[in-house]
Amino acid sequence: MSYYGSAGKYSNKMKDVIDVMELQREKNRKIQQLDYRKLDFAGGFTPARFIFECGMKLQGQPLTLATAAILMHRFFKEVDQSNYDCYLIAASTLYLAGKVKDDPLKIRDIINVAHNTLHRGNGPLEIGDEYWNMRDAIVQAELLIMRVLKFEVSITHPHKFMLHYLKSMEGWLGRDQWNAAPIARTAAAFLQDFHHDPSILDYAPQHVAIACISLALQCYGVRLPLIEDNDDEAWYSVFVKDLQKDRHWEIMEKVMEVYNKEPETS
Amino acid sequence: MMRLELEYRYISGAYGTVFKGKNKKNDAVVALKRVRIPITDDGVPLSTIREVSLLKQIGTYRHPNIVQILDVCHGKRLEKELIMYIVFEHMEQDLSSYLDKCSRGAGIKSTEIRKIIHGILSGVEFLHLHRIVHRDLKPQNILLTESGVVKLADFGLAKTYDFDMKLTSVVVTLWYRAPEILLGMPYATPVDIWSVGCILGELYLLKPLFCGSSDSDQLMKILRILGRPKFEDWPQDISLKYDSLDVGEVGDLRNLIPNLCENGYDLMMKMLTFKYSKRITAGDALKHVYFSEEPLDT
Ligand SMILES: Nc1ncnc2c1ncn2[C@@H]1O[C@H](COP(=O)(O)OP(=O)(O)OP(=O)(O)O)[C@@H](O)[C@H]1O
Ligand SMILES: [Mg+2]
Repeated sequence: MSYYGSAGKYSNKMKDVIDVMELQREKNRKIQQLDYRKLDFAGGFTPARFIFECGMKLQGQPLTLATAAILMHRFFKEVDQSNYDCYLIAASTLYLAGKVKDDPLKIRDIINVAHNTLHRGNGPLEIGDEYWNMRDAIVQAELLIMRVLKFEVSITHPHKFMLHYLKSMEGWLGRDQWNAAPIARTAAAFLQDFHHDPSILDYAPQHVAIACISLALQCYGVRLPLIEDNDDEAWYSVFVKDLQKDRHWEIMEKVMEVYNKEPETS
Repeated sequence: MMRLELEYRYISGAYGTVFKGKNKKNDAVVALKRVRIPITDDGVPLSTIREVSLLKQIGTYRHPNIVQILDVCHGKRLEKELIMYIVFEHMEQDLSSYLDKCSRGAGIKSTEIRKIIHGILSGVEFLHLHRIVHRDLKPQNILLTESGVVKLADFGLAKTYDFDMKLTSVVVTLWYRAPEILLGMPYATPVDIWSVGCILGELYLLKPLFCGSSDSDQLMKILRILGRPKFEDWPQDISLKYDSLDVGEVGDLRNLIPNLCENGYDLMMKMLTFKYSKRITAGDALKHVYFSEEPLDT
């Protein structure tokens, strides 16, 4: 079944895309003060949210945060989630991701940021029993994560494919037209947000990159020259040969769904 | 996870211990390498994490000349270290024991040598493409299947188990070390090519080419056979001055290895080039006429 077959469905999708843009913008406008202690696991969305919030405060590289989110989702795919404190696991994946990406985050900073994010308004954690317990817990959890993931902690990220595709597209469109709409930035934002959903594990990184770019193109109604998007040939076929159209839509839908999972601000 | 049965203690290396085992699920015979991962206050060291995951990633390419890694299992957790088992496909023997057998017998056919060196170089080329320097290529770290296929072993974890982790009783051999390592200079992929050059010579000679007992003795043994390098090839920024080099009488590699053919000699000299930046790369070595000439059995 192809989504392109029905015009009604297609324009519905477009409306979704535009709504998603609105959500993305809204999210950036208000700094949400989530009370994580009141949130549930939400299929991995909540700890991912926690990873990105703490990771940004720690000024980790984007790929470090993406790695942490993927490691966290992979971990919870293997274990019974209710047996683990998802914020401890999230903090530990940040610590581990810093090592994997050679962007080391100090354990002391992670503990402080995680503590303050969970208990907003409290000052920094005193170096005392609570600090040492948390430190020990993170070191233990790191080892546990390594074991559960069978030491497979290096990740092929969609980012590098996305960068490569975007570069080529800039060439086709020409600088002026390319700069008229923030395609690259929007696509990157979609990609980052998709890391909140464990379904990112189900797709090839190349395909995820394409779907995020597609969403960005549609948001701004950008059409690529010389490429008729028809039933036989998709715009991305120069980049990836093995992405079916319905699979492509499926990924785009998953990305959009992330915005429906946004928790209510307390 | 694989269920493994340890059959017997196999061979003990400098940094780990290798066992032969059996996968209970399918009766496949495997080799298990036990390594100790130090755990500090900061958890697992960054280098270990990067290397273990690299090792696993490398395994997914299934290169025919790299020993296949099957699994990584954890063993006992001690206070300051974690015991880890790396599971590999089991190989018939290593090149060192093969050389032993051949030196007691009729030697090695030159067609066979060519095949072995080609296999080693293919493995090395693959590692170098993935920015891995083996750093310790030697006959003990090169494994052979029953049908004589060569596979490289014992790479990747090298950095983690650097000198402080070494079990003191075992001496690490210097015989395959490139001059830049012996001189304490920074080094990269060319060190592996040097080692392959030494191994090429050894396969013809049936004994190691340069057998030094210390860094400086090793260097002298090399220079006494290859001669003093050209002045411009000698590094400027080291304490050992060019003029102070007293090499003495220089032997001739050709007389030393009379059964080495012309093209083999040429390739070997390109691999044993003193200055690392002039040394042949693995990719170019694989294209050398030595591998395409009409096989002559000597
Ligand atoms: N997959 C294997 N199949 C059969 N034998 C093996 C295998 N891997 C290693 N061995 C044997 O065990 C020995 C030691 O293995 P390896 O080189 O991996 O360990 P090591 O502890 O790092 O040794 P060293 O540092 O001294 O080189 C090898 O020389 C080889 O004889
Ligand atoms: Mg070894």
